[in-house]
Amino acid sequence: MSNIATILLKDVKSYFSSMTAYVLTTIFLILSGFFFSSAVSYFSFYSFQLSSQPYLAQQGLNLTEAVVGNLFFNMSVILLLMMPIITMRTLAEEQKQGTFELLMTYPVNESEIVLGKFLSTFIVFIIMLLPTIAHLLLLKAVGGNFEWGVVATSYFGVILLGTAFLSIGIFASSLTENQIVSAVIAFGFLLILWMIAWLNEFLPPETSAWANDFSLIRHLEEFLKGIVELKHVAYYALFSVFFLFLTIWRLESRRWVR
Amino acid sequence: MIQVENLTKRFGKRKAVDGLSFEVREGEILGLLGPNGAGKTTTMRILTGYLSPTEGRVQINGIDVTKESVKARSLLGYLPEDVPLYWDMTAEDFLRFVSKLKGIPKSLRPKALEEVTELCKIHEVRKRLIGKLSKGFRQRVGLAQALLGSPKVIILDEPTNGLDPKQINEIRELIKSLKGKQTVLLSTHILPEVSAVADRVLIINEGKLVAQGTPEELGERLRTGQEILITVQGDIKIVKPAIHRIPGVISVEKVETCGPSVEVYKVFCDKGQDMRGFVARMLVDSGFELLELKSAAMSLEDIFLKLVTKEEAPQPDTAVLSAPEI
Repeated sequence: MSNIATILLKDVKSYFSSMTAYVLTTIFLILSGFFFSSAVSYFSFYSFQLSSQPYLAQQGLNLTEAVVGNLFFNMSVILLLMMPIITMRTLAEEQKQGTFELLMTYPVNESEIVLGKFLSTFIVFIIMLLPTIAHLLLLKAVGGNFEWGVVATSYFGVILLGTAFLSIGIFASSLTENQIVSAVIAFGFLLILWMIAWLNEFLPPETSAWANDFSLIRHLEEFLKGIVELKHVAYYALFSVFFLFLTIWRLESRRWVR
Repeated sequence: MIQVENLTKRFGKRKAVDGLSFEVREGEILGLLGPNGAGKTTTMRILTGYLSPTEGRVQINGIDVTKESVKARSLLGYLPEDVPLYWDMTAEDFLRFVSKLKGIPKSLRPKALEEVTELCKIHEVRKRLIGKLSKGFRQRVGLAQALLGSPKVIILDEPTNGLDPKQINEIRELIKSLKGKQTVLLSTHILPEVSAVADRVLIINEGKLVAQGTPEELGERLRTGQEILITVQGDIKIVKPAIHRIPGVISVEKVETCGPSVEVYKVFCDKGQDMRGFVARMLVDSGFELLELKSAAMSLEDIFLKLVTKEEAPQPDTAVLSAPEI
């Protein structure tokens, strides 16, 4: 356990001392802020238009779905692009610099290294995600009417989704010594798993259900509506565990070769 | 302290290490000498549990490094060849990180850190980023991480590689100071290095053990010069003394028997000139049936030549004589 914490701390420090964490957080906040403010202005524009029609004005628009849901969906798209950049370094760099060999001469297991790396990227991810709550506080402050419950489930869903992104990213990083290659592999993989749901439109219903089950994004939709279902949580959890195991195996594999 | 038995490592078809067996005794400094590509690094990587051997086994203090890797590694300090370090950490942070991973209890960490900082003389640079240090200091930080926690066994892969003469001397003094306290295995392709530091030397080439002994012994063998393998038919009791009587021959030993009263002998000759022709003539003149004569494959000298100049040594030639050359 303490080995995991040691590696985690070292990596988190390195993210912050190398500016990576600051740059990523800043860009993430600028992008999510942009999408958020455009969602808000759209919302106010349509609300204004609707106010001229008495019947619809009475019903009003759903702020939670239109703005909050939109914010979280856009955040997950930005994460799709940025997560491979967080993870690309983790194991590729260790292998390139030879420090992986150094680590392996200490009494440390491969699984401890992988978990330490994974948790460090997770912490950077959370630090990146947390400030977005300011958007919502601001919306509330100007009198926006939305449900905090949905916000909570949305955060939960996005964190689960991010965890899945990270586990693939770390696996990709274990495959190569080259950070760029690692990022491209991770990004390509994520994009395929993202787009697989689009196949729905061409596939017969039996197969499209299968495509839906595999899609990373489809499982998020329920969370954004305020629903937490075990099967969606299990999907993300199993997904992450599976790729972390693959990573551990990949690192151990050098010793299987006899 | 370290037992290596019949160690073999195959990469595809190539054998990087081929049936290597040796032992490192407690408290001694053993030098692993060999030209580039002789299998030194692979051997060390197996010793530290980073790679698995194809065959054979390695024990450190009685612990099998393949089966109980983590336990064996807790006895080890290792400096890999290119001194991999985290360049974005300060020397002090890095050593603290290592001390945690090595499982040094928290209360003992400050003292352990201070000890290695003192020993490796890196006190003045401990607050600086490793990436900004000179090569010599990086090497010392690398050495410091290996020595941290006073492990029983220290394995150093080419510890003076790429340093200037002054730095090389300092590192050698440092390694010598460990003698008796810790068991050290170091590899190098530089001949003077082992004679300067090591108690005992193993010479390996193409993954095989070629010779071992103290630096003095090996030097003696080198000075004695040529080794010839001869196959002679005749009674060993007569042939052996006869060979020994040939002027210039220092010693004769029987290598194997390959037929009824056909024996292969290994003959050590004085250095100076090629003795093959002379030995052949002497034997034939004395009436012995000389069946084969050749210089021993890859003599120590050839390997030393390879070490020092890093050039391809000439292939050992075979001279099969049926009649004496006059």
